[in-house]
Formats: sequence, structure tokens, C-alpha cells
Amino acid sequence: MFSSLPGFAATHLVVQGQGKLATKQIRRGGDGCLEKIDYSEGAKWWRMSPFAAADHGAMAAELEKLAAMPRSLLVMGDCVPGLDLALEHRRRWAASEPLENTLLAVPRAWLAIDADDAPVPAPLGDAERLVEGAIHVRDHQLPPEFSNATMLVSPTSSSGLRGATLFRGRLWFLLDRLIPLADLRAWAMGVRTVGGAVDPAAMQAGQPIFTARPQFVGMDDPIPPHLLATVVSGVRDRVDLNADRFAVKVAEIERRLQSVVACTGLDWRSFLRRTLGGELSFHEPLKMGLGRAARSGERDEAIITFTVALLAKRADPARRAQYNAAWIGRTLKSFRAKDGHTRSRLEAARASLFAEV
Amino acid sequence: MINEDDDDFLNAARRERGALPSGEYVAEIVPGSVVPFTTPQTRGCTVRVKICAGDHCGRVIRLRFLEDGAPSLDGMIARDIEALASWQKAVGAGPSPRQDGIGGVLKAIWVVSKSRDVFLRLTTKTGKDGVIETLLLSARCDDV
Repeated sequence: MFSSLPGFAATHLVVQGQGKLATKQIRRGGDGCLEKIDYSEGAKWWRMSPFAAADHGAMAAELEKLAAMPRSLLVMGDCVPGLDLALEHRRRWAASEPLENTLLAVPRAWLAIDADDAPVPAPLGDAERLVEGAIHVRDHQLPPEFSNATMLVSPTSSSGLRGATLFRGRLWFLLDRLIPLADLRAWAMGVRTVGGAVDPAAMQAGQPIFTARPQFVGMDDPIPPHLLATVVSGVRDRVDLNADRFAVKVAEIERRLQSVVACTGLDWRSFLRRTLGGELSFHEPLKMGLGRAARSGERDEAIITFTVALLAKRADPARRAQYNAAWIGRTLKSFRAKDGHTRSRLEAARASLFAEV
Repeated sequence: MINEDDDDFLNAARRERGALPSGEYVAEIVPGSVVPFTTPQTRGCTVRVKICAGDHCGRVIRLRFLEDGAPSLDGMIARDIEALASWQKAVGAGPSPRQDGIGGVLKAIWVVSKSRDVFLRLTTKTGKDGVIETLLLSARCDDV
């Protein structure tokens, strides 16, 4: 009945330029801490080609090959019609001028769920327990339509590096119909809003899905070769995704958070005290509260200390491990960087709009 | 027929019926329609544009541009000013004196746009309160 549906259709990108990589580097510093370096600065030009794998088995074979191709990655979108695939292109899908886009959001009958720091019972966060960890996430943390569905499990760059109780990995599913990428992303945002550890970022036309293993410097890859791509057979090969499942709940959470914003204004401590945990879950209150905290002018240490203390009272151990001090610090840094970028945009736009006297 | 999207702005049902589909439209500024506004959090201008061709020819749409506001609104302000800068560049209008604000920019755009086909890329956004608003994304004018 699904024979006419496409399998894992995507676009394969290969970065151009000497020394450029499409994967991360992970090195262990002298103090034992891990340092992660994002893919090559200035990796702007790519060769693009259509990618397809008919089913989970074929996709597993492709992922095993891609794991050893550090210049390659996948994106969910399609090349724009007429794009000359013999040439190098920028990876663009949301340019304000649509003609500059090289990638297009199209409906897909698959999704790759990046489970970011999903709490799992120890030791399912360990590298060699990747598949068992993924099965736990599928059957306990994803909506019921995923339960016992066939999936493909592959590692991400942080798999096995977050401790025994946090799972990091990618779960690939086929869907029983084509669904627009925007709807898939909205669904993923809904899962995250209600507390699920799903990263919606990949569900965009040009967002990298890193398929190569990171380059490990001064340490071994914690993932054994036989776990690069594992098919976990289930009772059905395609998932009947309820894409609207979280729409009402998300709207209700947003409405309630906004009503607290109206009461608390810029007082981020009060906002977090009134929203963190319970029915509003953790992710959205933390995101909104830390966004306000980042603009408050207060030092990171003070914000982290307050937030960690509040989480200690309200969250279970797994959730506390997920939203730990490092996560809070990274989130504050990311908000400040985003604000700085927005201010630069604003100044540049104003400069072009108005004549200097 | 609904031809004024800014009338009865809080009437969600009417807006649902009257929302302009996202797309590119030949449009012109309605003379005298630039209106500055100030709220406790924001400052900006509204302007009406008339669709001049196609299925929606004759419809008048209100566009709202934020010029200044609380730091938390910087993203929205940048979006509005970038769209306005795209419009200004598309028609070849020069920079306006800062003290005239974006009202001055809109008037300069109107002056140089007369008798020309200016394409505005518009989209519709539904706010959390259900209010539907038309947004300018960018502009182009083929004879510049």
C-alpha cells in the first residue's frame, strides 16, 4: 500500500574548498574536558545532488558510507528547479530574495529525529548502548504512533559523550504520507515544547544533517563501527504521524507563558519562579526566562546559580542533567550572540535607509 | 467586497475572509496615507498600498512599519526596516533625513514610484491573538 511513497529522499551536499570539512572536530583537552569545533569556518560552497534510499535497509547502507565521508552531509530540502548541479552553490533556503535560494522545502515521507540529551535510565546513554537508548526514546518519549515502529538508528557527534543517563542519537523513520517540512518542524517544536528532547532544526530545507563521524583528536571515536547505522525492525514500517497532536497544547502553553510575561515584565526571576516545571514543562519557560535574563545585564554566574537552584527543587535528576549549568551558559551565550547579530542588522538597515547629516 | 483591511482591525472573522494571499503584487502607495503612531512600547508608521493588477486589483492593504521600540523588539524592527530599505532601493529613492523618520522614507518612495510598476512581496502573519497582518518582505522594480 505504501509502494508508491518515496523513501528517504533528500539532497546530498559536498563541501568545496581545500581542507573544508562538513563534520565537527572533537578533541580532549589537557584538563580532560572535551572541546567541540564546528565544521570548517567559511564552508560556503557546495556541490549538490539528489539523494534517495528506498527503505530503512538501503538507508542504513548509505549512512554507513556517509559516516566515512567528512565532506558530505544531507539536507531535507530539494534543489530548486533548474539549479545547475554541475556548479558549486551556496546553501540557501530562506533568503529574503527567493531567487537566491538554492534549496527548496518540499513534502517528505520521512523524518530524522535528533534526540538531544533525552533522559534515559543508566546505562542507556553509553555509546555501546546506542540502539537500546534509541528504543527507549522511541517507546517512552515519542508519541504513541512511533511505538514499536521500524526505525534506523545512527549516532550524532555527541553520542556516548553525555554520560550514562543522557541519550544523544538520531532516529530515522519513514512516514505513511508526504508531509510539508514546515508541518514536520512545527510538530517537532510541539514535542519540544511539551518536554520532549527533539531538535526541530533538521526539519528545514537546508539545515545540515551531519552524517559523517566527527574527527576525534587525541581520543577514539566512542561509537563502535557496527553501530554506525542499525535498523530496528518494528510492527510497521511507516509511521502515521499525527502532525497536529501538539498544536492546541502548544498554543495553551504559549498563552499561559505570555500571561505571566504580562505580569512579570523584565523580572526574569519572578518569571521562572512562576512558570518552571509542572504543566508548562521546562523548555519553553527556560527559553523565555533565560532570554530575559540574558538582556538583564546580570552576570552569567548569578543567572546560572539561581536557575540551577530552582531546577534542583522542581526537576527530576535526568532533567537536571539535561538543563545543567553548561546548558544554561550556552543558552545565555546564544541569546546574546543572536541579540548582537540583530543589533548589527538593525544598524546596517538604518544606515542604508537614512542619510547621515 | 472587502477592500479595506485596516477597517475594524480587531474583527478576526472579517480578516480571515479578507486576508491577502502571500505573493508578489504590483502596488502603489495611497497618497496621504502615511500615518505615524506611538505606543508605550513602539514608534512607527502605517501606510496604505493599493494593489494595481491581478486578482486582487483594487484592494487596499495597510502595512505597518516599526521604527523604534524596546530592545526586545529589535528583531521585528530590523525586519521592518530591512523590508523598507529593499523598497527604497528597488525604486531608486535616495536616503532620507533621519529626522523625518520612516514617514519621510515612505514619502520619498511614493514620489519616485509614480507611473512605475513596483512589485511588493507580501505575506500574511497571524498573531497569537488571531490578528492577521500583512507584512512587506521585499520589493523590486524592473525599470531601475
